[in-house]
Amino acid sequence: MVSGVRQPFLDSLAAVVLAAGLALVLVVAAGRLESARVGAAEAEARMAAALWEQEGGGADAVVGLLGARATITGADAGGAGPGPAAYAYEAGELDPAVWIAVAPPPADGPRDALPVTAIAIALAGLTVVTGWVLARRRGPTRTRYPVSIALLSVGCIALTAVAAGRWTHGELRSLSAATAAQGARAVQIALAAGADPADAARVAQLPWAQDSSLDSPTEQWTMPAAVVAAIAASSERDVETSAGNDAISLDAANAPAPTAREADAGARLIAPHTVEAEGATWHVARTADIHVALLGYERTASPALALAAAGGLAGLLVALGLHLAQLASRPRVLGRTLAAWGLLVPAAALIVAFTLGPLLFSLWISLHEWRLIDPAPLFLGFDNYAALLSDREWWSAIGNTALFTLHVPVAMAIALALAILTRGSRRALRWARLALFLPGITSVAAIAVVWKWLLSDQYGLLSRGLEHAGLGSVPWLTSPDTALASLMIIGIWMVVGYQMVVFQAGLAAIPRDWYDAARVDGAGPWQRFRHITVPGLRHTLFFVLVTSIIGSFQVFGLVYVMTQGGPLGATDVAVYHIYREAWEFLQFGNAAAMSWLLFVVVFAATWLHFRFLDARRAHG
Amino acid sequence: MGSVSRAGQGVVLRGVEKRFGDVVALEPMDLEVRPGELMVLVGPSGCGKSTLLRLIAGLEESTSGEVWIGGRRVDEVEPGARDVAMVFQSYALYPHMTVARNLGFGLRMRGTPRAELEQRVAETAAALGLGELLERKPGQLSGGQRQRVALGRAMVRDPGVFLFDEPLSNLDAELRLRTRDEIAALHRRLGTTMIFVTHDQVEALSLGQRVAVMDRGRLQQVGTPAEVYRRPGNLFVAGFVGSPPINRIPLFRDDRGRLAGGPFVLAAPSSLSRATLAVRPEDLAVAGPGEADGDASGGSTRTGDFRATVLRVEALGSEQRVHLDGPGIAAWVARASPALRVASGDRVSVSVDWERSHLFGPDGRRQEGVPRPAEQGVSR
Amino acid sequence: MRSGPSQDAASAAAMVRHSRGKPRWALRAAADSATVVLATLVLMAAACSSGEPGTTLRVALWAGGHELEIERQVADHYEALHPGVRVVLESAPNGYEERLLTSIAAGRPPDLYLLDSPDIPTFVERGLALDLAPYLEALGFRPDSVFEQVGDAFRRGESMFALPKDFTPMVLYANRGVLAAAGIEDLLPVSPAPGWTWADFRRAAETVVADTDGDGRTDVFGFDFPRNLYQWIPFVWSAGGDILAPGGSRAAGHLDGPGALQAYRFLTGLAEDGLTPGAQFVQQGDPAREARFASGGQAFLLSGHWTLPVFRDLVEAGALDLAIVPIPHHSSQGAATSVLYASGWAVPPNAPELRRAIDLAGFLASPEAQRIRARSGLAIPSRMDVAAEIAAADGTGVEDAFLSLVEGARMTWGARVRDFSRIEALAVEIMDRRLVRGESLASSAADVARRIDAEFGW
Repeated sequence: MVSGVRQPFLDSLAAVVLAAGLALVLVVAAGRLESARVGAAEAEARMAAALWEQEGGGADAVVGLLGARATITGADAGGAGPGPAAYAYEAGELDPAVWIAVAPPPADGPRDALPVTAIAIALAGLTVVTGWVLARRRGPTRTRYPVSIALLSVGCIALTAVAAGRWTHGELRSLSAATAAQGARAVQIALAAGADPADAARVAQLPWAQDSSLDSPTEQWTMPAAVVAAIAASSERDVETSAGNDAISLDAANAPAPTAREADAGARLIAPHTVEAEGATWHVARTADIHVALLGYERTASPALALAAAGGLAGLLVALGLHLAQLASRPRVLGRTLAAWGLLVPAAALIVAFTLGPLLFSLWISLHEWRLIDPAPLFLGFDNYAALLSDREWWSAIGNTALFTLHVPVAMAIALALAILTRGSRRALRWARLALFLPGITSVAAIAVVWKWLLSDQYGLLSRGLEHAGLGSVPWLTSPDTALASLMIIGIWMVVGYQMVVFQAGLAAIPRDWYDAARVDGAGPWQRFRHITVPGLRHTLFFVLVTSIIGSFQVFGLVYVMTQGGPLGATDVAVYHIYREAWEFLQFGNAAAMSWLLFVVVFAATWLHFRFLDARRAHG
Repeated sequence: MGSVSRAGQGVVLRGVEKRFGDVVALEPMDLEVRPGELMVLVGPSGCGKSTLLRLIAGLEESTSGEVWIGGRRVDEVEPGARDVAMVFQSYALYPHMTVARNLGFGLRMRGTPRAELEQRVAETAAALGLGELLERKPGQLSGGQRQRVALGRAMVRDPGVFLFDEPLSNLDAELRLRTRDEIAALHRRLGTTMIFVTHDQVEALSLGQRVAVMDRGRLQQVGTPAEVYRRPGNLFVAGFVGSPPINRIPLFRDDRGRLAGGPFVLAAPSSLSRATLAVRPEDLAVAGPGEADGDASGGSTRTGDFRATVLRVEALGSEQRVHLDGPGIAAWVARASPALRVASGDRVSVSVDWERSHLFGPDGRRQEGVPRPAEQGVSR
Repeated sequence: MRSGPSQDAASAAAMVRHSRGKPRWALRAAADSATVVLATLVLMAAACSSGEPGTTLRVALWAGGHELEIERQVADHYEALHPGVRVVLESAPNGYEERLLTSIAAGRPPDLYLLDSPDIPTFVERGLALDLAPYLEALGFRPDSVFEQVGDAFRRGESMFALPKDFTPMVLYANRGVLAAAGIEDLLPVSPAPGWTWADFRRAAETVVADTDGDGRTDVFGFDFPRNLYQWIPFVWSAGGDILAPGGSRAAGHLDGPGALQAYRFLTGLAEDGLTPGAQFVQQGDPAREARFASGGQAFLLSGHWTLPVFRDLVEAGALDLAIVPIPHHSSQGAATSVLYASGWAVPPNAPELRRAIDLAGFLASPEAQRIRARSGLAIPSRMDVAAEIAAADGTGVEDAFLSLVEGARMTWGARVRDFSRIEALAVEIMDRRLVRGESLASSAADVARRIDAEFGW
């Protein structure tokens, strides 16, 4: 039996797929932590290097800050660096260089290993599934995998992902807190060396430094207002109460005993604490004169997302593996299934990577405030959407888009007329069709530039021509009353050729007999058009209508090149508005929310069309 | 139906010719269809019969010549005004209209008052048994039902001439027979002129009062079914009409001036250098191997005209078709009574009913007079 | 430089070392094949990403065409001085900001990038530019060697977030031929000249306006309508107004203040009285303005140094008689003013080759580099000594005229105020609404100011 040969192999395959899924989750978790540890080492090395250069800094200060984890290599090391064992950072004169290598901070306790809970869950899941597979191999062959096994596998993965996520989250938090504390300590050391407080913060290369007054307007540049406000609020509450706690608790294993100078400065160092602001956790340290703030691990995206994605992917893998194992008893079906999947994988991968993925990402972004370069998107829930509902400019853009869309029926009417007029195979007709079709395959940018000049008030061929003809001039693009209409005319000109070709294909599909029958029945040209052509083109008309409306809702190139939404927002259409919101004003969350609203509008319009058509088909 | 029927219109073609560029679709021809007559245009595909019908309908314009319908020259008249109705092979029902609207379309186009329109549609539908289907669309009908709607659409307008463009070819065999009868009955009932195009000679012979056989854009013969069958005007008509097809053998003039070919030598000296002898299968008499003489139904007392080997016997129940083999007569078929006992491989003696055999000259034209065999032309 | 295995390999190795220090074989024993698979995958990932020998520095900038060729020459110079270093110029003349932001967001920033003045607040506040102050001495960069306003744009307290590249003031180009044809060539001020007022400018514009071919349409204009904030802000300043409160945290009372309103009235008046061609409501303004100016259809052109190379050939061929004059000032003010736009070389803190990148930034801002770059003639070098050399070598006096306008000029607000592009986008409405719909300047300015304050939470 063929199936008998393949069965064990596929059973094992399912188990291997499950193992791979679990491993994927764990690898992602470990990867997050590793990159965070490297990041922390980088930050520390940067601080140490800055400290080195500070007056009173040098080797003592660096060792004071980092203890045994720092390796300092002088220029005599030949500039080759301290080797691959740790993150290295150059300090001192650019050439020759002093190298400060910082080993990643050691993780403490049992967390050093991979997340125990996660591994335990993974192992348990694997054991159960493997046991079942082994039992199955000996016992009577069942044709189906029980649902319970599939659920168990996916559940194991989900649990593993959750456990690994929690573990990673905790690790990252403690890492970032430790790094922030190191930053504060660097300031402390610099202060002890007699450096200016502001210098000290700067030297520590902390992204944010703040004068103690917190409301001095000239110095607010370094810290977002929300963070400043949060620090100001927290310094009353948290810091004052912890004033007795006068030293930063550093990693006990690594912090050397404070030197005398440090002890002196330590009195001036109040306490590190955290502040939640702008969607991220800021680790703040305060001395008498200065606040320093450092972003925590939120600087990179939360591990939860990556782990959830890995978990989902792993779950899919398991489902696929079990499905294949289930088909083992039907080798021909299995072969076909495998071949089909094999053929589908490239296309599916492309869709996931370039369509589905970005789509979900934009949905996620639309729930946040994000400027692309923000350390972390700030979660807003549906605030972006709510704000859009009362955003006048946005609705004006939607209104302009809807108005612009009115060019579609006009274009279709013209295209249909042209399609009928230019049917046939005569040379002149073929050339006419080609000429009419050309705008549809020409770059929008090129079309827009040419039309922009044609329609120029001052030098435009059209304006000048009209003036010569004594018809006066039209402010094609420079008046809010005419600009959108001008764009609509160009829009018509652009799509008519394509629509015409589609209509001709539709016309060719209408049997000549219908026209003959109608002629014999006494129908004239208009009646034949009305009773034969239009009904015969129904589906073509609908197709062109829907695709043109969708295309019209997505109009961008024309506006971008010709009017940039002006004059006075008269041609500000939805997609251009979204583009500006994202790339000019860097409001990606808003822009994503707009995109989704636009999608809903287009989807609703299309859906209504389909419903309408279905209803007519059902009743007609 | 009587209320809507009226006498048919005559159709006359005079020197009608149709060319598409350099391609001649119809050579100049004359044809007269008498009022109330059912004329069938028959011929192989591409013979121009459909073009001719479309010329009459006005769907094509003739290159030259005149078309007269009901005593009126209609070359410049739109199809809708020619007082003709047409049934298409594809039926050409309007797919987005209900049966009722399909039926009424022509009347609507002519501005018929609503009440009259509805009444006539209802009558037609009743006559054709379409009453239940009036609100359906063509897509929801069976092939036969669609065919009836197409028929109804022509009938409802009560035209002077019905034009049928192969209306039966999309039906299965049984339905085709039934519909053929219905059309014949319809013609009897309405008495309207009908021109019926088909490529099926059986259909043509069974339906037509007169049959016009066409080939390669040329009218080959016009006549009653019997004339066309019994006195084919040329070799093409002889070969096209009749099933199984007529048996043929080419004859050449021998040194004594007689036409000879295969087992045959004709009696009379001929001026023709060559000719074709054609004999319908039923005009051959086969004598079984056990019988001394051929059973010549023509009353000939001679022994068989030739001997042949039986290749195959088709027993069709009511008759037998005996496929013969012999020099010059390979693929000849004879019709025989079911009582004849022959089997493949038998040597049989075959007699020709010379009274009913045909001789065609080198140009394919019928040679008048009955061919006679020379006396010594006995089997070899 | 750091060479050999990359960070991933380094950290993996570090991990191994740590494990060796504290073996936990008991735990390991419990681990099964999943862990083995995991470890294999980690090691494979680490092994796959080892770097190539030598150092490659990626520089993001927006140079195009000839300018890019010249930047390439600068880069070649650096490569010659530092064997083993390869400088890759990743230029994006269009969509520069989009590309830069995307590369940073994607975690693959360039080693060095060109920071434009309106991007300074965003990039500095978000920590995307490394403070270069600690390295200035090592790089041999003296802050007092660059024009003060230019250096200040990139400075925050003691920090320096970019090394200035070059800059330009907005000036008026005057077509002497057009003025001569109208007989008013003498009216031009010798820059910088106190006494070149709005009234003088308007009178000059009125005088040159002409319908030369008698078709009823104006063929020679005085000016073209400066629609965008970056163009018209000097007029506001020269009327004693401003668009934002000092410190830049309020628009109301300034954007719609008396000085600003006077500037709006003056400029819209030029357009409404036919001294300019009809306004073009797109960002780049009238696309024909430079051609019209060069061909004698317009007397004055408001632009920066970047336009100069366009006209240079015409001037040398004698086809264009060009003068650089200050932007006229309001009669109530003593002297002319202008606005400055600058760019500088910045290093992202997470640059892959941070140390090298800092060194390259120092080189790109050095006098040698600035001398090479000056060949493009697109902007004024940020170093005063190099700028003076260039001006001295220029026989036409044009460069001198530019330099003389720097002193009274201010750096753009965009170098200080975050999201300034949003203010620019909104402010454009003020005069648009007047020209398009005839609305009152005061009310539309007040409306725009209110909206800006609301959006910025001021």
